[in-house]
Formats: sequence, structure tokens, C-alpha cells
Amino acid sequence: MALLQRTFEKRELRDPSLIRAIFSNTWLAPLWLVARLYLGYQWLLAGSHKVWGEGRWIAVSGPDGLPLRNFWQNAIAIPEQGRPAISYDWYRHFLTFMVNHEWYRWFSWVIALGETTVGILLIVGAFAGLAALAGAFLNFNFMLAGSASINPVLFVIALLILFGWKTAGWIGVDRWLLPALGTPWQPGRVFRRVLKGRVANEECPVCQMPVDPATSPASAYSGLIYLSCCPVCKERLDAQPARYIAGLGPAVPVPAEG
Amino acid sequence: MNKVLALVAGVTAWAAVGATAVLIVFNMGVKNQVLMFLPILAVVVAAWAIGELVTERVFTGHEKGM
Repeated sequence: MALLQRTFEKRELRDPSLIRAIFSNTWLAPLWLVARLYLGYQWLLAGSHKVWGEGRWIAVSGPDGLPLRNFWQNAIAIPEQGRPAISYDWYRHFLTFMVNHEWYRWFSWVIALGETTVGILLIVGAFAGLAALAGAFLNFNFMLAGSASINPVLFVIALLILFGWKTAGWIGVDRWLLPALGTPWQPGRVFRRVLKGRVANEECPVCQMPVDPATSPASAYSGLIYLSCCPVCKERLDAQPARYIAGLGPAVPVPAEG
Repeated sequence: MNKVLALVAGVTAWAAVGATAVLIVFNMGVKNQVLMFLPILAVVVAAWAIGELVTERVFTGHEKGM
């Protein structure tokens, strides 16, 4: 029992300062901008060929997605000599299922518009982390289908942007978008307005200093929002919420922010 | 009101980046990718400058604690 407790005890392992400097500090925002622009440009270019021009995948006179069907058929083919393009049988079965059910007709729209959207979002720096995740997923699928090309490089860049999601869009829309929307564990200004009746405290649970509903760092626990007076106190609260939240009373509505 | 205008300026600047990128990539050949990329980079720099000089000046301090 003690062994299980020791193994599964809640214990936060801190990232070293170098990792935090790379992925959480805005001083490297220009580097993330370069990575974002390169990746976004590549996706926009790839998407543009599928959305626009002679060889486009969608909105053509015949059935949509015929180039995608050809790609899938080439991928699932098993040559008489040599290794097949796809290594995993389950993925070959999956693509075969999609070919047999003519899913390429609508899936071509998903890929064409998806690539274009990922490219635009990365270039403007809006939801950069989510866009990178979507791009990485596309790369992953192309690689599973046996297409290497530049996918491994794009995949690695997407993963790095994903790790640096907090600062990847700092020179971009995310600089205002993320603080406004926040995250599931830290609601932003927009959600604080919606949930303002569920703010549970008027004083910092850690040091009892007054909190400002408009600007104080927020944490969400048990359906309520807890405001801390500063990022340091928020860090302490998040590390040991039960220690600080236990003494708090029921939810107290706070005035709407100006 | 200042906040709204500053936010509109910042978002419009970055929307212009997106629109420029789409227009350039969709309307030019891929033979010279460097030439295609330069205008996008120029608009990005302009959007960054607008964000720093207009939007961020008004919104400074709001992102603390993210």
C-alpha cells in the first residue's frame, strides 16, 4: 500500500530553467515566429494546390477527391516485390475502408480546407498550438501512408511549436486571444465575464491580499473560479489547491469588470 | 473605446497578414518561393509594429499570469 502511495502520489516535477526559457519565455518569440511562418507557408502552399488551380481536389466538374483516391490506392497497394508503402495493417484496412466507401469525396474537402486553415492560423499566430497539433496530425497520417517527402521535418517543427504553444503566437493574434479566452484550467477575461457569478473569493486564498476580478490570475476548481493576487500565489494555489481552498466559503458574486 | 480601437487595429493588421498570404500563395506560381515569401514577411513586420505600438500599449498588463 505504501509502495502504491509513493508511486502514485501527486508530485509535480518542475521543468529545468532552460526548458522554461525555450518554451515558456517570450524572449524566443521571434524564433517561434520564424518557425510558424515557415510551417504555415508550407501548409498554405500545400492547401492552395488542393483548393485552387487545375489540379485541385475539390469543387471540380466530376467527383471530388479523385487525386486523393489515387493516393490512397497507391498507398494500400501491395507490390509483388519489395515492401508495401504502409507498414501497419490496421492503417491499410482503414484506408481501404475509406476507398471502398468513397470517403475521398468529402475527405478531400477536410484535407484541402484543413491544410489551408492550418497554414493561415500559423501565419497569423491564432491558436498556434492547436494549428500545429492539427498540422502534426496531418503529417503523421501522410507518414503512416508511406509518404515521407518533407513530412518528417514539418512534423518536428509542429511538435516544437506545440510544446511552445504559450509563446509561439506571442508575435501574432495569440498575444491577445489567449489571455482573452484563457485555458480550461485558467479562464480568460471572456469566460470570467460569463462565469463571474462563480468566482469564489474576494481575497487571495494564499496570502489574503485583495484580488481584482478583471486582472488577477484565475484557477478553476470544482466548477468555481479562484482568483489569486499574483502569479506566484496562483502557482502555490495550483500546487496545493486543497490546502488553500478548504477554508473558503460559498460562491460570492463579484461586480462585472469595466 | 480606446481598448476596442486598439484591439480592432491589432486584429485587422493580423487579418491583413492572413489575407495577403492567401492572395499571394493562391495567385502566384511556386517557381520563386523566396519572392512569394518576402511580401508576407513584410506584412508580418507591419502587423507586429502595429501590435506593439498600438494594441499592446493599451493592453499592457492584461496577459500577466497566463
